[in-house]
Amino acid sequence: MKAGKPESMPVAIDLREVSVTFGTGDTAIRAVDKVSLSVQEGEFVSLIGHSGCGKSTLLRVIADIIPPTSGEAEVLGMEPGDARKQRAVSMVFQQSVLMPWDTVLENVRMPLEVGPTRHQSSGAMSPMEALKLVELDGFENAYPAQLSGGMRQRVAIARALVTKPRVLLMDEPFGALDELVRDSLNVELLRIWGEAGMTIVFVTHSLQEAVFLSQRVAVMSRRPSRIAAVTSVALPENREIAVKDTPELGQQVALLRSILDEG
Amino acid sequence: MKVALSSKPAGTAGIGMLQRSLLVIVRGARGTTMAMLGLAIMLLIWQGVVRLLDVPIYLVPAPTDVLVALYNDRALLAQNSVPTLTEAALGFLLGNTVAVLVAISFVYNRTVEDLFYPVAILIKTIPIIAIAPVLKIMLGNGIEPKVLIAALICFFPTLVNAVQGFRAVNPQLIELMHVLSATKTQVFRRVRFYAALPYAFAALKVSVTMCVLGAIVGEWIGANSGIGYLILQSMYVFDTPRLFATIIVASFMAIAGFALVAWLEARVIHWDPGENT
Repeated sequence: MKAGKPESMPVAIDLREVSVTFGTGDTAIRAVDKVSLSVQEGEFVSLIGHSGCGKSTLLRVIADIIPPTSGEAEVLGMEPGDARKQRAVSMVFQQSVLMPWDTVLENVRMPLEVGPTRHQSSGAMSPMEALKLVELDGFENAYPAQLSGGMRQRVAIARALVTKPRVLLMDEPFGALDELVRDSLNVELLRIWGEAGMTIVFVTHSLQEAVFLSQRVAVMSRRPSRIAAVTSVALPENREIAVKDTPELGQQVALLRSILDEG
Repeated sequence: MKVALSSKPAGTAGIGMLQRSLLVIVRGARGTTMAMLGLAIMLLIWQGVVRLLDVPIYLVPAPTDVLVALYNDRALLAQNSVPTLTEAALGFLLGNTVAVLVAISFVYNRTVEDLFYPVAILIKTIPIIAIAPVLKIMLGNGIEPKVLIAALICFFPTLVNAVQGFRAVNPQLIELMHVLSATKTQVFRRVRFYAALPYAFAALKVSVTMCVLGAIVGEWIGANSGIGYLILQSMYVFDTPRLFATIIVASFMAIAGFALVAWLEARVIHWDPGENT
């Protein structure tokens, strides 16, 4: 907790001039360059940008996987490491990274069985509850190899939800799925977000997906890897899949594309 | 998505696995038949050449001579198989256990790896046959030097594969475990252990055949029983059919060990290690 900051302020994620540099000397690569971004609690924010613009790196700073080289990152008013240790943060990756030797249920239960023991049972949901949330109840005894790509990603989401995280970080979670599966998972993610009410930071390549899902979209530019613009999405709160085909969404996508092309 | 969801996972998987297994069996059966046929042709040629050219039996016995020796000396062969099997099995257990423990210490501590991996490679470069006399002087004529030679032979492939296996983990899975604040031991027990199993079994299949070789080499430098001993004895008295019989017994030991490990592997690894989930 930073001194002088009021506790009631509903900021989930606060990045101030965060830079990440990989390597040293002439070969150093600045993956993220002085990025400042603030995400409110309960907000759905997407990060978009070209490959290598540093959006995944930024997500890893929030998840305390990569420390910022300079600048400050705060998650729920804490150092990212403390938020992580409190199990306030969950992450979903592009690959479902399930453990193929464990059943679906064992995979979803895993977060409750590792980490600091005192957090294991407090404030978590049951693995079956998490599976129900992603509509995979009945599949608890299946092995990952028996599931389709979309179902595996649902399991990965259930695994992320089981700790009841206040912040959910998603790194291109549907990037490897075909469009139809992606659409249905988009709708489901919105439903889960509506029910669980956590903060979501969502990295994606797809402008359409970003606009459809988010309340705000942060566009990252390449070289320097900065946030070029943050736009609010003017779409109704209750979004159904048909919204993806509306001209309003198309306009938002076009706007983001023009910002991306400038960056 | 809807279609996939409505089907029962156990049913679809059952069909898929059955088809895969059948395919393996069909291909396997064909493969086995062809291999047997090839072997039979080779043996027939051998038999024909030996008989046609009237090669003396102490130089090259015909396959039928070997079969006769195998039958007549069955008690002797069985009796001498016991010490060799014991040495090989103990060596297999010792070498692989130590290799896995060393691999675990490498994965836990990079400094330990930097210190001792080169030493392990150095040991590997020494021909085992050259170490055998040293071990005989150090450990005498008992079972110990044989077990140790068999263990040494098993040690290296398992060490290399286990180290590789423990590291063969999807980096995103490691990131996930980090986000979950999992301890090193938890990552090891939940992830690295399983990731290493396919690698370990590949090494075990190699070393289970090598440990028989190790035991025989050990017996060559000083023993009064065992397949290695029997090989030397048969050589000294020019009992070539029996010599061939010992070769077959030794080879059978290695094949049986291989089959046992392969069977165990199929039991233990019920997932597809190549699949990226």
